[in-house]
Amino acid sequence: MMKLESLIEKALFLSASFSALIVFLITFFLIREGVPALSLNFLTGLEWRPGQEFFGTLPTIIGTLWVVIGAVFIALLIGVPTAIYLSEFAPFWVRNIIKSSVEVIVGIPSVVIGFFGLMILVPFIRNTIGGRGESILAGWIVLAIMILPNLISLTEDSLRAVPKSYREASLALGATQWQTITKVIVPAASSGIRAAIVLGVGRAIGETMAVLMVIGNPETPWIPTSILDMTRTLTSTIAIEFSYAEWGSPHQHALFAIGVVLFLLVTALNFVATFVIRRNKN
Amino acid sequence: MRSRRRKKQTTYLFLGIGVIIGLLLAGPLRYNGVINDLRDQITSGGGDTIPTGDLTVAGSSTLLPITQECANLFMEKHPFTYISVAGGGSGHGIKSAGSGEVDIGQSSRNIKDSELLRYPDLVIFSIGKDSVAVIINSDNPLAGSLDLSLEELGEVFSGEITNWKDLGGEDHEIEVYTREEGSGTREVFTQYVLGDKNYVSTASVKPSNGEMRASVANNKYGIAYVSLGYVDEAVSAVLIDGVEATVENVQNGAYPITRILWMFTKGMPNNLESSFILFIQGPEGQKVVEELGYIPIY
Repeated sequence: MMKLESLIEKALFLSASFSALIVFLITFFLIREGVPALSLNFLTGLEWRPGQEFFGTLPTIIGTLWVVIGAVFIALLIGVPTAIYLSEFAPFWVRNIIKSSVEVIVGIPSVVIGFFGLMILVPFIRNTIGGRGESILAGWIVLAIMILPNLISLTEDSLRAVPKSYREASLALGATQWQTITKVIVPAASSGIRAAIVLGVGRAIGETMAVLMVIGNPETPWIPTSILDMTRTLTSTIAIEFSYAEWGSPHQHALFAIGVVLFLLVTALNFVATFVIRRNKN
Repeated sequence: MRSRRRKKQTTYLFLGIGVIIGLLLAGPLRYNGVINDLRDQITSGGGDTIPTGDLTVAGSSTLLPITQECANLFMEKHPFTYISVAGGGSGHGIKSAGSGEVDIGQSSRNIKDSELLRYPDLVIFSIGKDSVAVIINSDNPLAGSLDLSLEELGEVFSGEITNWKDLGGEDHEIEVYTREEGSGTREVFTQYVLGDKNYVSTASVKPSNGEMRASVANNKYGIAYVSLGYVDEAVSAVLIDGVEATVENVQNGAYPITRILWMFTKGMPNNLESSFILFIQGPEGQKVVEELGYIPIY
């Protein structure tokens, strides 16, 4: 019987090490293929013309940051008040309806949201605001929709986790409900909200399909100056060009290098996140 | 007592999992064995052999409708075959056929020297001809009447002409769409129309013929180029030097842009591969080519 137990333990260890191994393999492959193309010029160059072997990614990196930051900001503007309403004010049945409809959004495949963006949002922006419609603004809206569900449920959870005694103490001191929320509950829940933001940013940077369909992907991206400009993101560039890039060509190495940049961005973000959350706890 | 029963249960659980894994492994092996026997029996019969087995095809989105339709017809005719067809683009088609990832690759542009050097054992077949048409939105006032030379088209797509007003239309920016670097359609269009010029940097990159057409169909001020087979009522094709983009005009040489559609196998094709390629090149396949708006090889 002992034998069986140690066997099971080994089997469990094997499956645990398998997932670690996969991460190492992917990282190794990504770096091996991407590093030949990484250079200062790659990160600061303004021109992306794979046909002539110009691989400047600065406009793409800035475009990505623009799209991601704006989307998270919009999601925060809608998500945090929603979460406050749900945890502090909403009657049980309203909360149920809102929560379950928000959770439905999680189940919608990103390509469907992208298609909605392409067919409804893009023509709407083109006809009412102007520009080509395919724009950073469209990317913001599409991404914000995709980040919202997690942001709302994480924020609501952390608001609910604030001990009841805080609320009661604040109200007993004569603070209004509004003061209690803004001065006591939200600050007490801020580490959870920050974690939700970081997760949202991570999701937004990695999201490919929905964004690709609405941001236009100009032939040679430039540093965007308006929210109606088209732009490219790191992921959309990889997704569009990868299948056509010749195996072993500089173009393909450059696309892997974009993958490395993306990887570093997300890793840095995770470090920042752990740091912020930990500092808050102390 | 209870813990012993639990251990017993665990043992049964693991036994069960073992049996299931065993069955999963054994199933396909046995199945493959049967299929192989069957195939050997059939092929050793000599003479007309019946194609059986699985076939994978990938590559250019231009050829995709043809291959898809032909695969359906072929599978109906030969029930012991299964053909899976995927896109991915011309470069991908050459790459994956050359490396043996798929059985047949397809490309809408000529194979490059560098690719031939990398994959010297590719065998090449032509299955049809095609052209590239320039399309604009049907609501554009110029729809149906826009007539440009190859040079003027080059100026539009490289951003030297940027306003519809300059072509006799409304005072609005021309919104250019283009395919991604490496696309066969893009390569042919570049060769005939742009030459050494670069595409205008504000051109929006779309990764397939279908998306090019959808973008122009949704954008009154858009202009794009697609494979001739993708031109339909949703968009309006531009005349080049007064010549309409039709199959007849490409065949008689009046329309200036033509290209050959290719298929590749790694080494000489096996029984199934050659039957499928011969099927496409034969009367039934060529009828499909024609019906879909492409040009038959003969």
